[in-house]
Amino acid sequence: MDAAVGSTVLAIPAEMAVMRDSTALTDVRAHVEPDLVLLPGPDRRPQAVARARQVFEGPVIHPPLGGADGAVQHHAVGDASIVSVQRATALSKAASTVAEIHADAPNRPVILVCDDVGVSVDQTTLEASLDHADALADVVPAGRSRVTILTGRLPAEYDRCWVLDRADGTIRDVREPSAIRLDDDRSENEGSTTVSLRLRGVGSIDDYGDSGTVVTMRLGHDTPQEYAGDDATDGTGVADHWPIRSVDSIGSDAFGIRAVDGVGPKTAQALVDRDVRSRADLLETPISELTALPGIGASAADRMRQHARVIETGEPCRVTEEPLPGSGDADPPLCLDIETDGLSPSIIWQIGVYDPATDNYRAFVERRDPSDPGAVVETFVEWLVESQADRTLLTWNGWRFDYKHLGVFTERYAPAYRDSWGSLAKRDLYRWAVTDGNAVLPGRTNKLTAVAEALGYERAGTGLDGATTAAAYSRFVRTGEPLDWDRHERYCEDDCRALWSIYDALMDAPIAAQDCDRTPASQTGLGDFT
Amino acid sequence: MTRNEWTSETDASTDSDGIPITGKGVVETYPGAPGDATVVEVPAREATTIPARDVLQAALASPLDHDLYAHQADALVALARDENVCVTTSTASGKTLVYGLQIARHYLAGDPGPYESREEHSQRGSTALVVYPTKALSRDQERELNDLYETLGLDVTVRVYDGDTDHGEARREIRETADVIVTNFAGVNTYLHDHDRWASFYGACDLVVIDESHTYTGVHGMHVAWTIRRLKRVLTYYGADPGFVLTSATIGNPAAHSEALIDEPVTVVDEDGSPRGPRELVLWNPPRASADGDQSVERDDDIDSVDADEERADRLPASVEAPRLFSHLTYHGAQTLLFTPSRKLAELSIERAERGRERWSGYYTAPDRGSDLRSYHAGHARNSRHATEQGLKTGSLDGVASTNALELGLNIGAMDATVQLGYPGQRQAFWQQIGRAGRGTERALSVLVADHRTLDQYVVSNPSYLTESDVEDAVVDTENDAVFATHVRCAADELSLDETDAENFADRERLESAVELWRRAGDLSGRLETGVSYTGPPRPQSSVSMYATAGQEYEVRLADGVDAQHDPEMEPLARERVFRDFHEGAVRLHEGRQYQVTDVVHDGPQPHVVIQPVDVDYYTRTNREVTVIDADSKRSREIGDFVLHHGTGTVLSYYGSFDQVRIEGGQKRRQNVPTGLPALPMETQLCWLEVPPAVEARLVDRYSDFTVPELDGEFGEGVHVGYAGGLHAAEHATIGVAPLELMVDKRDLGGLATLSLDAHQAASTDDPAESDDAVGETTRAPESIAAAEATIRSRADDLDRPPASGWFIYDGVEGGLGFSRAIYDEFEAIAERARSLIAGCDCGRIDGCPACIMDDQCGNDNRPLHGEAAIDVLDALLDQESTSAGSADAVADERGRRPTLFYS
Repeated sequence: MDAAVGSTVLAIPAEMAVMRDSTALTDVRAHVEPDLVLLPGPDRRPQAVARARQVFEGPVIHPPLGGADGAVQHHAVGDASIVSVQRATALSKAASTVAEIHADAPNRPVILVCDDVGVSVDQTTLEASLDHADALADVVPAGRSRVTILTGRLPAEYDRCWVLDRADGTIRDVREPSAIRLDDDRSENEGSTTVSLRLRGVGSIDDYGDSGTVVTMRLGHDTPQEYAGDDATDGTGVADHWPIRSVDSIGSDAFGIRAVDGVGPKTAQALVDRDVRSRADLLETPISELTALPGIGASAADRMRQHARVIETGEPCRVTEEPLPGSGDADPPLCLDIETDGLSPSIIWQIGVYDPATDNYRAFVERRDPSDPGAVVETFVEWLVESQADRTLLTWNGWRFDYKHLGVFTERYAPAYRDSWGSLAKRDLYRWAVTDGNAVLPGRTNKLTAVAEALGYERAGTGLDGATTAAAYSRFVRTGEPLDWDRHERYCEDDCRALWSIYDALMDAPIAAQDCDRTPASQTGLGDFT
Repeated sequence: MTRNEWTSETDASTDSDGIPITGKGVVETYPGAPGDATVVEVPAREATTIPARDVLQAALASPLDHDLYAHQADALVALARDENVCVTTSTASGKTLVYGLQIARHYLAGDPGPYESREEHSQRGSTALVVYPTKALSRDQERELNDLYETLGLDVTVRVYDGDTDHGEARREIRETADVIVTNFAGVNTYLHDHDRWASFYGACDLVVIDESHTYTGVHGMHVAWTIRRLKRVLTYYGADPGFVLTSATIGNPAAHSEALIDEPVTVVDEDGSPRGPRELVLWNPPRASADGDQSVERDDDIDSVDADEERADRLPASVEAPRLFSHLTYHGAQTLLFTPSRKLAELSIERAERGRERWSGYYTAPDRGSDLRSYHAGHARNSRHATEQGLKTGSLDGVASTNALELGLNIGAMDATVQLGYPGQRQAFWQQIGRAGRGTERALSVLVADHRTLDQYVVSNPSYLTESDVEDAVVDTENDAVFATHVRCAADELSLDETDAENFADRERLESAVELWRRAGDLSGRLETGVSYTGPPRPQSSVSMYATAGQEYEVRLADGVDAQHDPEMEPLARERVFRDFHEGAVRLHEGRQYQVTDVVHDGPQPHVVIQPVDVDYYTRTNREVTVIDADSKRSREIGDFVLHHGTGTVLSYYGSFDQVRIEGGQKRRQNVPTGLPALPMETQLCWLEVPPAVEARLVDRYSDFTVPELDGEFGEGVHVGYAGGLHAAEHATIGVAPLELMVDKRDLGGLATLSLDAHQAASTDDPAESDDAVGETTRAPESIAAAEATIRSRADDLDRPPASGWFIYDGVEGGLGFSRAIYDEFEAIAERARSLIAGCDCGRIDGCPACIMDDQCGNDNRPLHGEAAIDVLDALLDQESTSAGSADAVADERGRRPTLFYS
């Protein structure tokens, strides 16, 4: 599928460009290889542009600054056009630019960048509106229905399609990504009487703390083929497709020397003051020099170097004698993953279990009757209790999701198994490795896929993610139209096997020096899992 | 000596100096100048009891060893019928025993509840969730309940679980083993996020207790009402269908209030079967300061209460007189509780009590007698508070000066007497406080020392007000959409929202609107058909501010370089509050220290206010201009020829400048220092009264000679000023007395009197030719008050019929509080009170005094005000006098020259 990938747009916080050492930016460059770099507003930071230009080769745009051509700039990136707009007042000028692009190439997707665009929420009247909706509706030329808009005013998770009346900008509908991709609401009139504005945030996500968010956007067709192979529609008749195929958000502290556990802003600055700017520099710095820094003891220094080494080599490392979860059992743990219909699930419709002992994968799936939200859980727990009671269960961050919801559903729908469920051995590899600090793992984030891929695991390439598969199941519940079940089961299986790959790598990983303490590592943020 | 010697004439001989401290005794023996005192006798009430075994099973009745009061029995009978119950009886009438015994019943029954499968469902026995308004009360009642179960010989585990509970294993153990968990609503709100950890506790829950439920009113009440609805969703999810017990101080509307809180029918039990001793109430209006010969009134440490108009505030302030009476009572051996309106006054009162003794050392010849006095408030450490509670209980303390922290049901034993420093604002609180004196059947004495304020003066001149049967209604309103929307996010995070919520949680249209709002904002995902999930930042529950409606809150930060020990650790501030009191340059007093605001940051991820400690000889007073725009009537009713409306609208406040006022003497040090703040729009609920043209014409004519030369421009001399002053005064008075009927804080209400109500209403868009302009005007709030006023004047000019005059009363909180709606419903009663307030005031001034029609928050510096004209307007409303048609012509005449005046 990667063959489809054209170009890459990177958004980094202006704050990061100004404040962080250039090695952090080079690290981003190596990781993302962007064709264009965006420094989102709405704050105006001219120094950020200057710093970014020193590191990145392609165009660097910071909309609040404007450009040589004035308030509106146009850049071609791969198949798409990026139109940067300094302020909302320049949207009419942007409309002419877009019209010219359209006249030239009616099928060329347009991505507008304007940090004045946001969503105003009025809780008192229960209304949410799109700022500058009239002007935005006018940006879409006749004969075209879609424009993507990026704004630093909204967090990088934000993705909604605002369907506006072409004439007066009134809101006709606001669609979520699942509905946009599945295209099930596409009306016949789209394009003639309405315009579709896909608004996506490129600003920092709240839960990344002060560090800001680095957003990688891979361009390519975000069409039904890629995102909903289970869907019957084939995307024909879509002249101007949605040009952003995937978005990946990573906290800016996952780059440069800050990626090393225990190196916060203060330590990073203290290291820079000693000319230790990158992880490679850190590896070459003697422990004695590190411990001379304020607040760094011998074990912390040791741990910092270990982590730096793991990131640089991609080889995990165990730092305690603590045995791996379930490693005392006769058989290795069962790797578990669940699929729901949302973050506050009303049904657990798929439970996947991979048994490394036999290399068998077993899926419990509700394909027929979604009105019984407990059936899958009951069957699963029954199977566990009857045939697998001596096995340890293993998840990735299960205490926050899989075990949490399985516990709730058992309590609610299969109370007879409440005690049996309670007595099963349930372990979590994420907690063991990261929270409890028993191992140091590679990967930019602690997400299962990021860690597994850093360890060399090859994904099955289903093109799905948790949110997409959840949305697809909701649609099945609503319409009764079956999913491409095999694909969705492959996705769940893939996660179970990825979990095993991490466990497997840790079994082989060397155990580092005895003298490391067992202080739990600080997590890089709750945002790891949202 | 025992504590109760003073109580009656017959015991007089045992008192050390032979002076019986009855109500009359206090008046006669007090060494200071006499003020005006009224002694009111409140008769005793006999106990009504029922044998415990008539109501309870033997296993509970036998060990109980005493009868039940009638109300306890009634409540237990209703609970046995699976009804929800609200017990609203006097302080110390044994309300705790009602739910304590109901929990015991469930415990013994191992109650399977409505779910027959309970035994299969859970090995756990019956559980109960008991919610108190404060953490202090939680711990106190944990002890009470444990004592009860010890008496009953039951192994019921009662545990407190709140912010002070250790995290980790300790919490898990409580969740998994306690039979009764005691907490508060801030906790319930937070813990709902992790309901999976509570699954077995919730699944087995048979009873939810809401103690002191009358405290849940206004904004806080709304949050509690929605938190309860969220709790009920989760309980239902785990198969529980618990009953509810609410206990409340006496309020006017226990059924409506309880039902608004829990959204279920409630049986009210209000026939108080507990005995009460006779009580004497002394209503004490302090003497004139000059009569007292007291020039040394400690104004300097009382900056908060410096009056705008010193020469009229001529009585000694309650803050001086009450501590002296407090000391006088303890001198005579009466263990006394002094209630003060602030922590600072609690502290100061102890000092002033001592100074009172020094002042009249000729009378207090044994100054150390009854002089072990302490202060008590939430600012003291828990240990210290507990020691004071014990000191009261054991009698080792002679007196305590406390904030209302001791008003709620903490067990501190019985006092001999109470003194109230000022009227506490509500009859409900008044009775609750004086209930601290004379528990059981002993005689009790309670002294209310009146302050200058409107309510205080009303109460002391109308003693029957206190003893009338009706007390205030507690207002809790679930109509505020801002609060609702906040809880919709939380509910979706806890369990996905679906079709069943459109029936049980909120009505469909409203729920769909809120879901759509958050879906557009990116915080919710999905549809009600298949479930709506929360996808916003983690833990939306933490964004619920239990005391504010919505929107931004400002952190209070200490300026760079200031030692952290000076950090006042203030709660975050609502935006309105920042504009009003924490603009740049403002000097605020907090816990007895002065702070100056050095910076206000409105934008960015965390808006905040920067303060630094200062020591200056002035305080600041913000000048406020306010107007109402786009009032939209949702309902209206006629009162004679008057029309009363309720609806929504925008209140525009402009805190454009402030004055620096010298603490000493009250002169202005600097005036009209600009704040640089824009106008602040607030969407809220309001009610307004339209005065009929004939009444207006008659009164304009009657008061046409009245002038207010200080007023700017030509208006001060115009013929309308007298009448406008009447409307303005009536507006102040109706707001001032609203707390007599409703549990509202006057500061949560605002008003505006106007000669052109119509110009403040939403522009009609009937005329298509004008619709473009009208839309332009109504959709965006004007940036400045000047722009708003210009709009209003131009609308007034464009009106094609003579506009009506009258006044608005609005809820001072974004989205509204339901107060203006309650005022709409109770308008006649409030108008009656307002009339008697003005007529009964002895200030003898047309423009009134702070006790009647002046308001220290007035945006127009209390000008113009006309008390007589206000009485005439209110009389016309209440008597529904007929109006002669003859004057209508004159009306038309006047109209041409009528100015567009409005006063807040």
